[in-house]
Amino acid sequence: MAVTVRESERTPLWRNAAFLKWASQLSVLVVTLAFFVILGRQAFSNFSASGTTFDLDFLTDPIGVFLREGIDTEPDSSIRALAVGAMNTLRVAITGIIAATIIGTLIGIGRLSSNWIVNKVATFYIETIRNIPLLVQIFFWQAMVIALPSLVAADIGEYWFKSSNKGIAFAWVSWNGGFWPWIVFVGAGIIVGRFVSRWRYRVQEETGEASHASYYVAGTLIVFAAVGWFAWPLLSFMEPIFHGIANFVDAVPAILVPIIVALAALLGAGWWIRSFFESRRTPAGFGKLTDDDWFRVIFAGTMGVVVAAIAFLVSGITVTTVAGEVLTVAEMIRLGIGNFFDWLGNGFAADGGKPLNFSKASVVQRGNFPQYGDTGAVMTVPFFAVWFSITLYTAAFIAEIVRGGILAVSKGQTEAAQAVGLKRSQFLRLIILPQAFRIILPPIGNQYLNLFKNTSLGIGVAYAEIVAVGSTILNQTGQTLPIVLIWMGFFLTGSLMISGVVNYYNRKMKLVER
Amino acid sequence: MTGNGNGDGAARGHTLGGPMIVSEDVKKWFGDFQALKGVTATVREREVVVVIGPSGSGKSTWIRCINRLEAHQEGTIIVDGLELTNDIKHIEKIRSEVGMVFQQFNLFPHLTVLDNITLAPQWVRKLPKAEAVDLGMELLERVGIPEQASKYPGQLSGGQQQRVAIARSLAMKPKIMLFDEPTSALDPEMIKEVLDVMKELALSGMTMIVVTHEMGFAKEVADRVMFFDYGTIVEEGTPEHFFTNPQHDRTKLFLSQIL
Amino acid sequence: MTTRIELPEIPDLAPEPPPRGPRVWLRENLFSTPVSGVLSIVTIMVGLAAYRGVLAFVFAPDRRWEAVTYNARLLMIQAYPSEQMTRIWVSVAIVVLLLAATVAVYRIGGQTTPRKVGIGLMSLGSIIVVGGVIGPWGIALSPFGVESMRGFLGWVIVGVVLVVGGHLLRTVPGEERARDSSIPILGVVLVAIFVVLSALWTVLLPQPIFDEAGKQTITMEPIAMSTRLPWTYIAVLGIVIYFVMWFLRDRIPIGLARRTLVGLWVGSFPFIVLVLLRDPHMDYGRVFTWYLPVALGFIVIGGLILNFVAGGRGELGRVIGAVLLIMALASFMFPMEFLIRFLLLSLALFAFAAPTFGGKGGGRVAFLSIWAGTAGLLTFFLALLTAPSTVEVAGSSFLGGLLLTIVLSVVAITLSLPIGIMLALARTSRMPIFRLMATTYIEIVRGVPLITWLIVAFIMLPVALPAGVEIGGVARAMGAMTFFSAAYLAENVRGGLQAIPKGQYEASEAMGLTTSQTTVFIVLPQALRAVIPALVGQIISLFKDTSLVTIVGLFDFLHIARLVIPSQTQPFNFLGVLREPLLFAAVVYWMFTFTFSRISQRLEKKLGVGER
Repeated sequence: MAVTVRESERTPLWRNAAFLKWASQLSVLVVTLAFFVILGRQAFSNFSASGTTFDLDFLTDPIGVFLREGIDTEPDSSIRALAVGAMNTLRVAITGIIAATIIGTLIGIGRLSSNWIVNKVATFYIETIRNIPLLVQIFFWQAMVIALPSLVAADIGEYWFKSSNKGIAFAWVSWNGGFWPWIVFVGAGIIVGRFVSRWRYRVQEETGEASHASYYVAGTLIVFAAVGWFAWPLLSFMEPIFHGIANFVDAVPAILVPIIVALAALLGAGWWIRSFFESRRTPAGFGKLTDDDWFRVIFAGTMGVVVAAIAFLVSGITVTTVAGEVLTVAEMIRLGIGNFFDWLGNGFAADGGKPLNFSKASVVQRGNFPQYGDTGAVMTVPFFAVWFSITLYTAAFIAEIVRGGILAVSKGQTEAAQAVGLKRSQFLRLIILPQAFRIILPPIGNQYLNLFKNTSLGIGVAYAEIVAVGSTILNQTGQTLPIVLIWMGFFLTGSLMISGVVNYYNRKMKLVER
Repeated sequence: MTGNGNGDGAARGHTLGGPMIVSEDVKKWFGDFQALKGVTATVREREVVVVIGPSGSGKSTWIRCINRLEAHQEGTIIVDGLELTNDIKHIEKIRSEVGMVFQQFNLFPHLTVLDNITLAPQWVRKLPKAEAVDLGMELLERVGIPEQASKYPGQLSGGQQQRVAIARSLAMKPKIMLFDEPTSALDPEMIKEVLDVMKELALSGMTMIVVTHEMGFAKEVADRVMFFDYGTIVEEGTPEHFFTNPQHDRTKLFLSQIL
Repeated sequence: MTTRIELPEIPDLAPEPPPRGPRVWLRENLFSTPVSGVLSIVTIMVGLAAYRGVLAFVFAPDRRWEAVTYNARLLMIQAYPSEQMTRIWVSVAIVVLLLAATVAVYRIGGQTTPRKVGIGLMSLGSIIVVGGVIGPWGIALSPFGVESMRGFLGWVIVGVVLVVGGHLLRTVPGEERARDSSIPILGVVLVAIFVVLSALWTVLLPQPIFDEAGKQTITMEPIAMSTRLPWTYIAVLGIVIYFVMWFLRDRIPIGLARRTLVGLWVGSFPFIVLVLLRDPHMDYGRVFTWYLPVALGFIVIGGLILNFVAGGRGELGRVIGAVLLIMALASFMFPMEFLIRFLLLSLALFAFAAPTFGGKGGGRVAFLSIWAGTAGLLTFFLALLTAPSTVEVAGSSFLGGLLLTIVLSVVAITLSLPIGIMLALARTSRMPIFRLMATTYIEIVRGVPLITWLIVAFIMLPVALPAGVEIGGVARAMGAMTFFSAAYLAENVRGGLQAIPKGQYEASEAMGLTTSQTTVFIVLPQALRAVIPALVGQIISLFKDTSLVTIVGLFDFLHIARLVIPSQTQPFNFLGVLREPLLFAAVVYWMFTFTFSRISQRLEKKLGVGER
């Protein structure tokens, strides 16, 4: 058939949709990168003008930082101080998440309670706490604790609970060397408990009788914990095994570290590209790839190569340790892995003492003034201000989420459940909560992320978390970029881990749905 | 090329013109799914083509390729003498010449009925606002709902919405109209009002490709019926020929299921 | 935790049941089951203890509230010179007038009933009576002291008056219908304004003074004349304007009025901050020899170019736009006036937009006037910004206190909205590299706390800037907050974008609209409308987040409350007075955010989000 084509010349570039699409994207990318390069060069030239050099050695240089609390209050190096700060951040974040979840859930349910006064009090709590900036609350609680009376000589003694302008102390359990082997027993109990619960549910399905699964599981756990309490030294045979692994790691050539990382990156990219091509293969022949598809393939390949190259480049950088040794990054990573296994091995030592130790708080004379002793648990003023405010604040948000989730589910389900003849408690446990959980999980995960990031407000009350420690080091050494990168790495990793856990449960819930 | 109709549009008393849409060996993949496996067809000026076929047979994909809502990956599509390539000038030109009506109407819910219609003339054909409004009211008269001009789409019935959608496409003064199952989302009592508008359009000499399951419409208005299955045209012919004497087993099976 | 979980009751939307006796009410709402009864008693005890604690704290004799009242101006506007206070009052007046006009023109405000108002008054009254009873002066503690009797009686009398008044309002208008007849909420607001104003004139606040011997004493005084007089004028003016607009709104073209109002809102803020409060010292010689000619040149020559591009073919606009863009970017590499750089950049963007938005006839005129307006405003603001401020203050910025907090929030939210929209569009676009870049930006910014970005802006940014370029502390904070909140806004907007059905894009494309036209006319109006409540939520959270700037040393509201006042020794010794200003700050923040969250809830209901 004769077809007249009005214009049949080749499409000029500036009218080619595909060309324009990629040209515009690439030019924006180039301009953005150029912007950062210019900024970076300027920063470098300004730095060298002021005599500051960029290297990682500052991390291991001795510094005179004194931290008010943490696993090490007088760290010998910047990197050690940052590690202490990171631990302090995690301490607030983890305990805060647990406490905020419990309080928030209770208040959220209270907000829906048919009991008038409970309902009003919960509403008042949420509307007050949610609408005041967290930083104001932190400062306020700090001011309140500081205004408490100070410890005097008459206070010396042991207490279940004691508050003063030095913080809040209370009786608490602490763990000893025997804790970790004991936890292994408890973990085994949890695994066995899962089998037990499955078995009991099967019995219920087959016989129709109440199976008391939860009693059985609790019993299993108690048995394991009790046996472990006395039997934990039996696990001390693990100690030489882990030490052996540590020795083996130390003996491996350090060059293996970048090789393994690079191989993983390249193989990962290759595997991805392969499976991508596979997904385009059809019985009728190979599917045609669009330009976006090609971009994906090229991007995956490039990323693989870039990661591999970075692995080799970075692992070659040398760092002077606190002890004065010169090590490459690869060697340091190897050392870190070895130390980790050593630490694990030490945890199984037979002379660790009872797994848990209960002790009351104490006030003792130390130096010129009475202070809290080492027994029990002590919340310092900054820790209490940050932890308390952050917990109450996040709890208010969690309460609203829980309320929304339950409301969303219970619409229409109430009558259905009543028709089936479920008791109110059964209805809540079996119908509402599992469904509500699915709705509230993603937003609660978001609140966990917020809580984690909000711990950084500790800098306002000089709580030694990672941002506060980092900015102290930053002021001392002038090494802004590395510190900022460490912050970013820490928070991004933490955020990824939290969202990873939340996504895992979310997927699990979705599977149940199907 | 066989079964190209009787060539004179006898059903509506129109003479068919030259080729308006030429599709040659058009292929299209979605990931590992090949939606079009070489579609070759020609639609002539003033011709009304009805496309039928089971869902997933590629009939919608084909007409969506004609105005580049989907990009075909192999083969040639020539619309009104312009080849559809990556050339944005051609794409713009073809889109302004080809109107399309969707199953779900796709009216813009935040604009009034009149604004829905005048938007494209104002910004694509660059008509002054007053002219665009005149045009819009004229088209609303044509589809029979001038009194609804200042309402929002959400306040109209499905049939009225689809008529607005047709008016909206006509506002661009297209040479070709594509209908993608225009009555499938409508209640039975509203189907007729939309089909009436489409018949009127066909009688006025518009080139039309209609994907539909309305066999009555096909018998009455179509110059040609195409049957799609598994990404190809299985059979085509005049309505009389097609409905009374289908050649292919799959066509027979399909017709026996829907008639 | 062994607390029994109460089963949630599903609130039914049925009309209020007829009133019943208090005993029935108590049994149904507090003691429906034994567990519920125990829970009620425990909650009441805890609640009363907390209430008493708060009262005891606030009214303790050694509380130094005069630290707040004496420093009220410092808290609001920091060191803004007192002889220039008129500027502040005029700014407040502008905002109040615009607010009043908006409320009238947009017909904001719902209806309520006397019954509801009465119940509200009664609850308030009961809370006050309970406070009178359990307060630190209450009968439980010291029933015989004269001071405590006065406190006790004062509270109880006020509370009883409110309860009785509320009860009358609830029941007296006799007929059932009158109680449920609707009265406008704005009327209630009017009464509230009146109450607040009369409180300004009558209520006594603690103020420290020196006597002849130089001894400090506290006297109770009403608020200063220089404060209550302007407030009264402004309130009266606002009410007058409201009624004027209320009268006019049916007599003027409403569309025009609304557009004018939006324009005034948009223009008022830069005007207030840059002109009114900053009072720049303009060098008119330079204005006439440099700013005006350059701006006019750009408007005329740029206008000609744009007119040419708009009339031509699409690809020509792209080429010219690309050339201009390259020139603009290159201008940032070489020493050049910022004015030319920015004008070139905006001309390039306009050239890109010209082929699709240039229109014809009237449309073209509108497009070219938008260009002229943009170029003119850009020049105007640059001229203002580069002129030195004549307001002499101690410290680096003329903004401080609550004023700084508000300016920071408004600037950050206004600037971050366009950036956030761009990021959201990029993240949902069909362009993989744009998607990648936007995703990287959003995830990195959101993954790291705001305080980190503030520290980066305050410590790293100055280092990365070329010599000679300096950005003030307030501007740095604005920048950091803007880019931070843009990432969050982008996620909100993305939610709206993803809610738009694919068919909307297809219909628009099928009609021949370009991608940018589709975005502007079809996608964004729908997407933004859908996410308004989320955006208000983001505004609230941004407002709260501005408090973080105290950590990097800006003198915002919180900074003055927590650092400046507690370190005052002259003329009065407020050293270590920390809890009072902090509690005051908490209450002020609370009032702002609570108002906003109520607005957000109403918008949510009005827009029916979540019901679609």
